[in-house]
Amino acid sequence: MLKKRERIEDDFMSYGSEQEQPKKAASSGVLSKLIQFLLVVVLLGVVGFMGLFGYRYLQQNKTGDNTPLPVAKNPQSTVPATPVAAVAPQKSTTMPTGAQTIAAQNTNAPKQRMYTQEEMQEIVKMLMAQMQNGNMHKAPVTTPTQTEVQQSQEQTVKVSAQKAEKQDALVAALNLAEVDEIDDIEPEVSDNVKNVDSVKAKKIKNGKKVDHYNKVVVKKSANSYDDLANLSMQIGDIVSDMKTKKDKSSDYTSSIKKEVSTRVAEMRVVVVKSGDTLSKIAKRAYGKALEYPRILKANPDLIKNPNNIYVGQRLRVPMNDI
Amino acid sequence: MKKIGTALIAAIMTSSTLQATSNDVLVKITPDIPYLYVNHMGQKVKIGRIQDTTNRLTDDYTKTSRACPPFCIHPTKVNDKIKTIAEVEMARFLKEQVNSGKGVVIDARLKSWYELETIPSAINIPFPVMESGTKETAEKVLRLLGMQVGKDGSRDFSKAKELAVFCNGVWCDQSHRLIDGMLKYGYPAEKIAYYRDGFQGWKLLGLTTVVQKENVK
Amino acid sequence: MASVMLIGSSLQAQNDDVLVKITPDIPWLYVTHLGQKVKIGRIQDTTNRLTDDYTKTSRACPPFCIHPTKVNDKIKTIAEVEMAHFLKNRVNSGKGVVIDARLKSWYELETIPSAVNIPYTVMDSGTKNTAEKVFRLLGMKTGKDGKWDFSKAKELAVFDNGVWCDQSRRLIDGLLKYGYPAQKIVYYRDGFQGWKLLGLTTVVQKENVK
Repeated sequence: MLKKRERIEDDFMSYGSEQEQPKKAASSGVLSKLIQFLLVVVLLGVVGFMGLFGYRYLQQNKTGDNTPLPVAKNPQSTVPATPVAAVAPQKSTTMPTGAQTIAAQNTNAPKQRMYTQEEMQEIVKMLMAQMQNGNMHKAPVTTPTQTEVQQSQEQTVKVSAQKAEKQDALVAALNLAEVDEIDDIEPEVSDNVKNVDSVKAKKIKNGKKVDHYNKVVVKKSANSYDDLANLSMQIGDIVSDMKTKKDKSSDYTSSIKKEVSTRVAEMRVVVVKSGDTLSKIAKRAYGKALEYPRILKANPDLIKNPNNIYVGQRLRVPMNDI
Repeated sequence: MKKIGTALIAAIMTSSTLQATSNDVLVKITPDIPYLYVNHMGQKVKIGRIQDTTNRLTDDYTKTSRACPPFCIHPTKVNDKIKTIAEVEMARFLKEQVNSGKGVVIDARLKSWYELETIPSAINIPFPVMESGTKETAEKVLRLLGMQVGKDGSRDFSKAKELAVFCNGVWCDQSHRLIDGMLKYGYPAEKIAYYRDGFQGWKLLGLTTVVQKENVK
Repeated sequence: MASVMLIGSSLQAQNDDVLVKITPDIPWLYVTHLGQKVKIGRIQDTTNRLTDDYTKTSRACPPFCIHPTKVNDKIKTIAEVEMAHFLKNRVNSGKGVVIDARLKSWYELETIPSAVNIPYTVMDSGTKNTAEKVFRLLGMKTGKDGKWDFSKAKELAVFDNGVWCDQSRRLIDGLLKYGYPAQKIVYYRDGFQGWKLLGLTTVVQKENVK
């Protein structure tokens, strides 16, 4: 049941006015251009001012770490692994094994711990430093100058480590206590497992297999239709009968249809046969046995546990380059 | 007395094994729903989550940057009247409304998307049907959803099903277009829920999906 | 006049040049993080995929169960569009603050630009004294009668790792426990996972460089 919102909605809070739908963008293009021009005229007086400040700001920023990165395919930041703690010895983190223990899974374990008064004070001190040094309301963010706008897109910004260095040993110790709650390292092919591509598929009869595919293949059968299936079929018939014509859905529809080919490529699978190895499957799927890393990338559970390949298993062999 | 005794023992044993099975599930859907059953095209499907805690999603649903426009991020809500729901509410909806016939999950995407992979029990109403289809077509669909037309031609939705509408994810506009179309024909807003996270959210939690048209090599 | 028009049109062109915008009228936006100016934008490569631990699907439940859409009836759940507006209108004017409710180590590794860290443990298991200190930093005042006055307190947008993460809920519960007004709190449910899945800019304070 929906409850009415009694209070007055603020400008950012009101969802009703936030109808930023693509179809409205086109019609308001001309209007927005007009508003843009008027704003530019207003900016005339401010531009001179900003040019000065912008130049000064850029001079300051050059000493910072704003090195623009080239737009790579996967411009990921550093993978969050165990943080480097220079102060005290680290707790050793073990690689998660096949056995699933709760300890290994405690990725964001919100462990209940009682902080002492001193620890709390340290946290509040840090918070104060964040709030005040952050200069939230003292440095109003101005409209960027042209040069700033032209900076290339970078996705992680390194904030200077000066603040971190000011922390005392107590706070550092607090950090270390939380280290083992950080997530495990990204899977790499274990050094112990050689020739991952030639591991033969197991035949599993009754044993439990952890299903990483988790997709049920449903066939159309005339035998067991229930009400829901009938509903589905009937609507399907209506949809099929619809005459396609140029309508307001068309543009959007065609852009979605283009994306379907990606989906189809992603959903390509092979069913593992007896005697199969990753190399053989790669040959079948990609034409080259040496392309097996593509299969590992698409089925990362095999990276750490190559022995988990079994007959009848469905493996993703996407056509796309990941 | 004997019959009651054995029945009681059988009941206790069954419930304890069920309890044991429930406790065996490491990654549940909600704390009290480890998994649940639905029907898809008449076939029973068990919806559960992948149990490998190191499992990662690697397909096209991990793509981060679809061009905006036209694939812009949507706000939390469609409008003030339509409820936005997520996976917990979906699980309950499936268990209660869908399995009793009172509700239905609607996949608003084009048919090719639906057939490749979708949420178990979902039926497909591609958004063009309601957005730009004829009134005749729309009414046919609405009737199947439980709308009745009175003698005066007025539309009566009192027996119409509750709908949970989804599409690909937060950037996908297909569910909005379908919902707009439904509202246009008078479908009551309180009978529509918007599953915003959509198919991406579903997959990111390792939930079971169904495939109707396999792309097998 | 010509130069103004040139600048105007090139700004417009810059706007149009952005392929992957945050919202149709917000291609990118600026905030400050610990005094440093940060541009929040989305990765522009349309083939880019997320590959890190935020693509993990199956955290044990319990304890990492999926959360419902809302925390409670009074607190609004928001998403990225509302976050963008919040950053532009509230954070940059000082009226609001984005709160990272996770433990500090998470925050330092990677977080949302402009976010301030209040680990949930501060409110969850801290003392009233600590809560008071934090509240004062957030704009609470004490009235003449000694009661806590939140009329000038900041609006908070609270987030954590994602829909399975409990840290934000615990922080919010703690905030409410000590009297922070519910209408000044919003819950960014998608959290850091949602943020990253849309290729949005993040900040790194403590790099893990090998």
